[in-house]
Amino acid sequence: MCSVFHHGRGSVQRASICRLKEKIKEDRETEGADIISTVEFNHTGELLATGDKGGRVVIFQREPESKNELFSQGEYNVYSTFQSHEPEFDYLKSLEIEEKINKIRWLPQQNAAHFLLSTNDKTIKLWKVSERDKRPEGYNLKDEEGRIKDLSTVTSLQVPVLKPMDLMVEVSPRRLFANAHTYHVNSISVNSDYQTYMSADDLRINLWHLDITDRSFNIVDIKPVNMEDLTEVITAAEFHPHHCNLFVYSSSKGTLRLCDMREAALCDKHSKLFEEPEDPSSRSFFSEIISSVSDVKFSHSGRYLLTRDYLTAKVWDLNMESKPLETYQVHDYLRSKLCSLYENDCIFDKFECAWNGSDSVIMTGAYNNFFRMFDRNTKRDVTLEASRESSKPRAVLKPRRVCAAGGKRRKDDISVDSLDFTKKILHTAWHPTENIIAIAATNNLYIFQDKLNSEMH
Amino acid sequence: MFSKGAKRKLDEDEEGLEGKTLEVMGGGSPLVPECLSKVSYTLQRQTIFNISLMKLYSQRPLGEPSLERRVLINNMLRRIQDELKQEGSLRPLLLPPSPPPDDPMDEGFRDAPSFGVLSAAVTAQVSQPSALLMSMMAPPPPSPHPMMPPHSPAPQAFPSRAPLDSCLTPASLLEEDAADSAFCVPSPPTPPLSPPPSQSLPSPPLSPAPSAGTVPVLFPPSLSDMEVGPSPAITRTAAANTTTMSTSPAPPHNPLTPFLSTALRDCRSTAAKAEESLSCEAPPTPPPAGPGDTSVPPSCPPPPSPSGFLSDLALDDVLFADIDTSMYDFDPCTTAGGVAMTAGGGLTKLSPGVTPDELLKSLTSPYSGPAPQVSTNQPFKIDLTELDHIMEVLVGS
Repeated sequence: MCSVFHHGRGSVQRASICRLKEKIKEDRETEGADIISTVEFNHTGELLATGDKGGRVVIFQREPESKNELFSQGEYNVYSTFQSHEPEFDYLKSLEIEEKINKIRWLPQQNAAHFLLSTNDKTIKLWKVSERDKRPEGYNLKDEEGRIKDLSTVTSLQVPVLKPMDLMVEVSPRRLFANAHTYHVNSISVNSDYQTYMSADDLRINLWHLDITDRSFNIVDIKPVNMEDLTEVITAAEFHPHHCNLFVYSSSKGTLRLCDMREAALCDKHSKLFEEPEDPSSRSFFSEIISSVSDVKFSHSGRYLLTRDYLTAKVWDLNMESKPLETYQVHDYLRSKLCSLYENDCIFDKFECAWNGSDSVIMTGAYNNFFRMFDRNTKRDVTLEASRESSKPRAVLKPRRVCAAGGKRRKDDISVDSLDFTKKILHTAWHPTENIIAIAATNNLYIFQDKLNSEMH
Repeated sequence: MFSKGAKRKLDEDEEGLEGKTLEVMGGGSPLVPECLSKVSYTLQRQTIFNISLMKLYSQRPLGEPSLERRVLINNMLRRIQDELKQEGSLRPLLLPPSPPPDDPMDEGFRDAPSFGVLSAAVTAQVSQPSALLMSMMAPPPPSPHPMMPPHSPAPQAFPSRAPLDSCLTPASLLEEDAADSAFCVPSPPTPPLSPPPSQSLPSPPLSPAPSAGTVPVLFPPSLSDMEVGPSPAITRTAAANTTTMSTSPAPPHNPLTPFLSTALRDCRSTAAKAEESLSCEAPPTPPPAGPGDTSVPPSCPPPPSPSGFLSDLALDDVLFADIDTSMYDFDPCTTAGGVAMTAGGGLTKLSPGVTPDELLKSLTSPYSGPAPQVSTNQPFKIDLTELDHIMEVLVGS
């Protein structure tokens, strides 16, 4: 199913970021079915899962480092591909339920097998990914193909043995968590107790036990009695990485609510509300839309929250609710284009964001296949481009710069007006410990790796 | 464009752009910003309102639309609606392009101290440019998106960034049209953001007309002012006066002439294009379907019925039940976009066909004889009154 293109090896580069490889998904008949809709490393970083609009999940595995090849330090290759969700039809609403994978979350590995949760708009599934490299041989009552032998031919007994065979990756559905969401599931998050997880849709958050599929507990419900009064929706939610009683959810009004499940079973009342007062000087018709939080992520330490809204990325300290600790402008040059972006719906794009392993750098996507990184300590930031043209394998990524219309333009700068708004990087992921990042640019997945110096990226 | 580049002092970003705009405006005419900003603010608001309505009604195939998107759009509409309620009028929103002469918004503008001066100036000069203004009026009543001027500072809620935020028309486009003296050769407008295919309502082509058309009359001294926002409201005022004044002799008004002619040329080109495109697209459709048609329900091409929208988007029913549905029953708001789109498309396609000669020809007509102008505008005037009536029935105001 999946074709992987290995590019020739270039010369040694001294740079900070090299492109390891580009995976190109085979074009499929359905247009756009191969557009990547989520990217997620597992807890060790050994596996990387992507989900796409066509309901398919592709898992990449990092090759073990080989000593003969100097530069093959763990390239990612396709490990397994499977169809996670199929399109369905909601007969009550007469609406199609897309098969698009909205989110993938890995469960911490507890045995040889890997488990992951994948969700589309309505249904969450638990998948087991396991390897098999041996097969039993020499059964007494059935032959190699599994057919029952004619008993009359069995004249002697033998002990079946396991014989090695080519490695096979098996993916099997283990649980189906359905019918708990009326609205679109936007987030799933596995709890640090490893037993429960939550799923959030536009108006509710449900808590599930991983082994129980026929019931879930509603822990947040912001649906008003009268839908006419609805002015706010949940946009993302995540569990605290260490405290299993804490979780956070973000809203379309730009707020974050930290909830403590110890306080009440139904967390309609938050423990903390993180909100930045609106700056009256930059108020506009679009203030609310651009303040809508598109993604929220706890730092690995659990101390900070990273949020993304349309124009900025913000780091919040759990101990300070009044304003973000840091605010990073992702593409402020779009501030003058908001009406057009509203008109063409780009303003509703949901950019995600990611922490690096040490919580010192954050990364988020932008338009024109650009993505941005911000070093929290040095305050340096960089714009990089994920494109086949600009990044040859092992080539160093050159920083890009966007200049506002009319501004002084340096060589290689790109003007705001020539940005391609159809090429957007919404989904990014950072290896949990190393400086390896995965960037989903429409139907291409780019994996970049820090080369020698790890100062910035 | 050149003027912009030349004047720019900050090299970085939109701050620079904005600063420069203010600078230009401030330098050109100190009275301008305040007045125009108010106008541009309402224009922005109207535009956004219209876009929002269309977004809610545009059908998406099969899949359930995003609740977040709808809530955000709905909030936007509510906010604008609240503002309007406070201002005590829904009308201008519903009928942005061609409000009746007694449009309350105009009164609102007159409240602005600076505007009193300006409108007085307009009336004083109207006898001459009136015909021109009328001819300008005809083509523009354009789209349901009166484009707002790119850079006039917004008042009230929008102190600094709003005007830029809400600028639909690429600033460069407006500037090229308005500030570039060679703009008698119409060039197809380029959309601002290399918009995705799904983008709708390319109304830019229409927008320069009102802006370029009115501003020179009001602020002849500085060419750079031409890129300063237009004010349909002002145009309206002028147009209202026009009815009686258009036939009066036109005394030469030297300082104005060059500006008027450029403005006029611009305007005419738009008009010519609009007419041509319309005649191509729908030859049998008579004047009512002319440039002003975007606001005339009866002559609109078969629009998807609002009720259809509502029933199809069941959740919208629930979501927006608190908004006066009569707004949604008003076709122009929802359908005019489509019309504008086709008209815009037509413009773009046909624009190469309009030669400078034609433009010049049309340019001379207002001077030589106002009669044809009046006659061509007649249907439009009828539309205005009809619309007024329809609006009264629909809105009950």
